[in-house]
Amino acid sequence: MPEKVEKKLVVVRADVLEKISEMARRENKTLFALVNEILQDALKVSEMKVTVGDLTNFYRLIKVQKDSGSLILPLDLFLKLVQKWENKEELEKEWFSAGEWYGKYLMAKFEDPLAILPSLLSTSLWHLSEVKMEGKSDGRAVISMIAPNADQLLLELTGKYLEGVMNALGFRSIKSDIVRGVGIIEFLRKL
Amino acid sequence: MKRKFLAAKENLADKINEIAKEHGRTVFSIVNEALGAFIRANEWGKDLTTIIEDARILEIARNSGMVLMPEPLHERLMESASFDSKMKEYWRSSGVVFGKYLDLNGIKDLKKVERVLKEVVGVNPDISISSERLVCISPRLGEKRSEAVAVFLEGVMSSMGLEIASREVSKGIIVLKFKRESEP
Repeated sequence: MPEKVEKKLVVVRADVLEKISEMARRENKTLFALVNEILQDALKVSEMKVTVGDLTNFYRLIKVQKDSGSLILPLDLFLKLVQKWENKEELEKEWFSAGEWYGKYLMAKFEDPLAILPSLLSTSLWHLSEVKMEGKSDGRAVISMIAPNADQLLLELTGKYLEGVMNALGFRSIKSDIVRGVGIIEFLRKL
Repeated sequence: MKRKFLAAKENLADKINEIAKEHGRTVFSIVNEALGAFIRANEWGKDLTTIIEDARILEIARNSGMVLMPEPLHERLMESASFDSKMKEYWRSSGVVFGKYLDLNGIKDLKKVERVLKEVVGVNPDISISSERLVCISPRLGEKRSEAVAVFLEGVMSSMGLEIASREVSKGIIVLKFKRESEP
């Protein structure tokens, strides 16, 4: 005789339950079985000290990044390559145009790229400890970067990359202040 | 917002309840969040379990000191730099460190390593690993990058105790054969 499974009732949103019931039907599973699978996954995620919502959001944002042609690379190797480049001005131009391309990609992919940009930046710029973007009512936008242990050149190049992104999104840089470990760039919407 | 009751296994419901208390949340919000994530994953054509595993791999990559960089930038940097023995050593040791990091995170099984490497090496590479060999096919890798990736993969595999017996590297194709344990 199969072991009796003890059950408990939990409260959920009616619309969510409706969708899950439909999916259970499609997958030919009982609602009870599917819900238990999902809760099991949620518990697995909580062991990673994050929520399932945060994790799926992280995955989605990195997916956007990878779909745009980003690669995952060891930071130390990337830095070695950057440091070998002798012409800094040329390097800055390369980063600016890579940013510009990314900005155009976001414009093609999202209806409101500026709305998703802050989460994309904070999720994908792994070499920064913190990156924030703030829109001002007077048409200005400010991006701040904090990376106490980051290489100064890499921080400056990231600044150029962000200028490229914002340029494609209709903003020009009006002030850039990048000192050791911290960078603040101000932008103004282009007329 | 309309609410309804849903049956779940008692032990799971109890654990969710504990987590809710621990984090100052409600069971309602945690369960809805989990079900919502499942629905979204389905809309993306993936299942939640796969997304969780992929996200975990990405977390591991991030925590191991990797960065996300635009491919054209990397390509330009690689083109201009000479891939000398010093550079090769950097790539190799970077692979060794990454392999050790995987080991520390309990990723020892070759199939799991294969899955991680698929996520972190190049763009959608076709990688297969057995105890005899590793094959990596990624048509977008140029000659120099193929060599760099090969050296990195050698580092990863050697940190897992697999010594390289032979290697064939050409543009976009890497084949590493491992020494059998009995081989000298």
